[in-house]
Amino acid sequence: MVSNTRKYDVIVVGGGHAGCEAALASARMGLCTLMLAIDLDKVACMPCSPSIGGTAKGHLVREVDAMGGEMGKASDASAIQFKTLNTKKGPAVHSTRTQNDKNIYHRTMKAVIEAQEHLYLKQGMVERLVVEGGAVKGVVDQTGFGYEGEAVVIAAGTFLSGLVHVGTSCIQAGRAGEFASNGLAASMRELGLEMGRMKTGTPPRVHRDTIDYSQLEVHQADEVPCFFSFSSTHAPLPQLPSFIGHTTAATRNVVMENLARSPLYCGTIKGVSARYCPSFEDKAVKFPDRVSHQVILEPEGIDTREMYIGGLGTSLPVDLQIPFVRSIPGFEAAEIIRPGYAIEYDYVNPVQLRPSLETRKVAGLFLAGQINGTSGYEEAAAQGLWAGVNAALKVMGRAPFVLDRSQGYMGVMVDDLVTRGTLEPYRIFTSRAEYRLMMREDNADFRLTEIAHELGLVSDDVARQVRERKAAIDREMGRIRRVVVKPSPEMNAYLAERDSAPLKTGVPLDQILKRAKIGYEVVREVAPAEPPVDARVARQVEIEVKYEGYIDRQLSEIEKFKHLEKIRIPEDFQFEAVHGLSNELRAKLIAVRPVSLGQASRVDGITPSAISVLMIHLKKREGR
Amino acid sequence: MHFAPGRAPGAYAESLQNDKKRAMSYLDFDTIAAIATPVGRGGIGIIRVSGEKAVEVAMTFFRSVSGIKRPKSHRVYYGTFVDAKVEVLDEVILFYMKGPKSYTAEDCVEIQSHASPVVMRQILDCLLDEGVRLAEPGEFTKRAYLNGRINLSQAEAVIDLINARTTTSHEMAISMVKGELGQKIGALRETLKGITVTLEAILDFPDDVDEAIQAEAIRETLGGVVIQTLESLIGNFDDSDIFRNGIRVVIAGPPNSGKSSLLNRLSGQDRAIVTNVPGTTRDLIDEFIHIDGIAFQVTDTAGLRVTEDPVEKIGIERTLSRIEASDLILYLVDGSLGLEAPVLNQIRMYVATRQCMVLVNKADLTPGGAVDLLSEEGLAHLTVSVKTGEGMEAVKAAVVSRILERLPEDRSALVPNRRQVALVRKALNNVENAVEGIDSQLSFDAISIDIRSAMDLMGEILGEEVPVDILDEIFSNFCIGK
Repeated sequence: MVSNTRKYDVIVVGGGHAGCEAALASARMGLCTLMLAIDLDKVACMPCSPSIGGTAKGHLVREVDAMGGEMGKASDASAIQFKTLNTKKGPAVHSTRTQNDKNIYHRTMKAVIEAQEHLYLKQGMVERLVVEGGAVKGVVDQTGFGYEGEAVVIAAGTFLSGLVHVGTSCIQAGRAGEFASNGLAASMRELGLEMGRMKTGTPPRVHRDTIDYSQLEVHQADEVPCFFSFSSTHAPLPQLPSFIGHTTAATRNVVMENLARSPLYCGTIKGVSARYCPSFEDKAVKFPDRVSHQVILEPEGIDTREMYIGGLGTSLPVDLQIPFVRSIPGFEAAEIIRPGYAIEYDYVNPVQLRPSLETRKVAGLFLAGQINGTSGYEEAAAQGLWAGVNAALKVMGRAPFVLDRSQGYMGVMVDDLVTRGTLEPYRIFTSRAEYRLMMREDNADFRLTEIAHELGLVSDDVARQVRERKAAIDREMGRIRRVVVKPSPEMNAYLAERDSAPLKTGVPLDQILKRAKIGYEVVREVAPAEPPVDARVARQVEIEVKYEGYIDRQLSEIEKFKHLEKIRIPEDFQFEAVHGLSNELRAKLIAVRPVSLGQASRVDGITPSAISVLMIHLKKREGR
Repeated sequence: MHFAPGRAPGAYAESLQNDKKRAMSYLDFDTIAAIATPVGRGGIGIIRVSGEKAVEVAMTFFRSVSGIKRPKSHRVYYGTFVDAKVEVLDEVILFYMKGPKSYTAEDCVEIQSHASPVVMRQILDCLLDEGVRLAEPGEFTKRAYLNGRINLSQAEAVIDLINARTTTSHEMAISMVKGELGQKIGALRETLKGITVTLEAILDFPDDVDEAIQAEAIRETLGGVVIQTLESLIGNFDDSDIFRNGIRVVIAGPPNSGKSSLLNRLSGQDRAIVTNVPGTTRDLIDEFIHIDGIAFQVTDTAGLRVTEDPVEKIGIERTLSRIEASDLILYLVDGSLGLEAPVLNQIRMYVATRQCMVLVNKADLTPGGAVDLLSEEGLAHLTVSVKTGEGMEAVKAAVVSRILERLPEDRSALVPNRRQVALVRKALNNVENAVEGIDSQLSFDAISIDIRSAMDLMGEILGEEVPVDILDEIFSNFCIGK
């Protein structure tokens, strides 16, 4: 191959949310990193909703931020609506979500990438992987130009053999109007990677000035914006509202009367779609009793008049999309700017990956994002960071970076993917996390920043700030446990106002804070810290005290969980030769090749006795 | 308490270091216990405890005669085993083996008691109540292997043991699903699942599921039907003690009325020493028998009479206390004799206050007035000849029907076994905790931990190895989508 003279440490293929975080992480760890994107104007573009975060996704963004990633900062810089969801449902499920100006997001991220030391951003479509002796050596682009690299991260999104559907028309495309990546898909198949087909889609965009807003409900941003990034301090952009509308029986009728022209229902689309993000066609068919569905109209940016209609994903032909959209009250005169479409693409069954996201088949080849069967910008970004760090560690000859299910949502997601695989596009949810109460948005930095610091992803300064805040929390916790509040008319009046029982004897302050309807302000009232603690510290102290019992329980469960995680299964362990397992279980273990007994225990169908059997074999092997 | 966020910093470095050291430990955290000898056979029963907490927990209940509080390894101690109320359950011998010099290579305690299944179960229960886990079948051997006490070449034999035993326990668990108990547990799980699925849908899909959390309705369900059902299952278990451990039947009566012969006749073996010297039986003799599939623990007792013999006196005292604890008294008198006033008084008292059947023995001999006297008093009785076996079938039938009268049949179907009731107790604890959480206005991200845990416990009772897929349930119950 005709090759560049420079040899890269890490090559990242793809410039979406996964690719950006992968390239930045690798470069920030000091490795010479190349990022190849098909179209540099589409780096970090948001092809579907103009929104980042939400339940569990917000947690991922915080974790990416705590690990020194960029998504949170870029989102804060481009947010035109900040919202915290689930504020009344408890600290574990508090979730930040932003509406973003897509263009500003793209520009912000691209600028960071361009400015990043050790990072080379280039335009090019990768045609094939170069693999020698089972290890990746580089990539060759469409023009035949080659790039040498010791590790390659593929973050190809929906581009592998992408097929865009609108009605019965189908066009080879990575996204509407962009080239599909057919060569790379073929190259990966040739390497023996088992691939499947998935489907996702996006709703139509309409012109802002063609909507009758009097028929829609206005949703304003939160008054006090809550940033994703622990380090964002800038003034937010002007905040814009979004609008809620409702579909009608007529909307549904357009779909139901034309199923023969829907690629989803006339058999054209074979890829599996996500249940949590159904197209409107799916909703109409699967929930026939429900006449009306909610739609959310969201601005795509400050400077554009394009509006995104959340809830209206469709791949109907354009002539039907018009009456379909116009059947919604308020949308009678709506002009569609971009039609909605569905896209089918190849993904790699992620059980073929190690927990580092490296393929077992090809050493040095890492996969991140939708190629692993996930959906969502946040899931992609988190995997990108994970794969980028691991590609860098691999080149450096260091042990992989893996978080377990008790350390973060990133750990939950990767473990789910590599252990159980996924048949539908995988989205993170808080209910996927066993230790949800421990893995909150508010403590992502306490959980992860020190780890990121050790990896070289965050500065000494940031790590020190986190340590200091943590120390402040410890001090304040200790202090309010020691302060004893004596009964007094003032105190009991304060408690009575909050429907709380009066004190009869002296009680430690933390016990009062534990009571219903009592918040940290009781501490400020009764025995304020000197100097006063900042709001984040106060919040942590309040959570720690109020949820003490549950936190203790989760901690002891985590301890139990870690026991099996720590029992490692050696790389060359012969699952094939394990006596005492059914053929079915043995086949599953061979497919997943778990690296620990803990991971093995989560393989579909594995029983406690199967784990005992594996344990005996490991012991036997160890004794040799 | 641990301070949660503080655990994270340095954790990665720590885990890397651990990986390097490969400090692989197979030891589980928990301490396990089980009855190690066949139940109901032999004179001595052994309860084995293994794990970190073995000594600590055993010593909670053991009262050494020598007053020792901390046993030394590989020494044997004599004393009593008391329950949580400090009532003596049995005289026992405690044998402590500090790891790794023990069968499992962990700290091990063996408690030797009398082989009565009742006593052994009570001892085991005490240990389980203190947080010790009931050992899985084959688990001691598994630990012994993992800790290097068994030759490594024995791996396959150990695995076969684990697999063979697991099948049995699995079948045991599965068999419960069919019955009424299975339905009840299944219904409870459905209720808990319904709450969990709704809660998780509300927490994870705030845009799609616009319901508010119905805290009051959830509290009412949990505090009402859920807690009641769990409590009733535990109550059934406690009441059904006699079903599981054997119905406690005591044979009482004046000396030489043929009590030991009756025991031998019932059990079909010569266990008790039978002589015609009154007062031969000075100690209590237990026998376990089955009549019509019901287990009985029959105790032969010292004859009740006034005596100066100190040994016989002790025997009589024990008899009286055993009578107090019995489910049924078989009061045996000699039909060839009359009835002395104290005997007649005693019969009157037991018939009036306890479950008591009067048997008139020696029907093969010339009647001596006892039958007439009982008839005059209006005291129901059966006549038998323990010697020839005459009337024995009628006695057995009467015993069974008396027991069934007391326990309506349908309740027996709703009695969980020990493993199940332990899980039911845990679930009850979770549900009570959840109710408390709701009352103190804790948020549902925390309370859901308890509800989900109770739901999983119900699944465990049903022997289902595949956990409920909450997301699947949400997608089939709610219209989800952007």
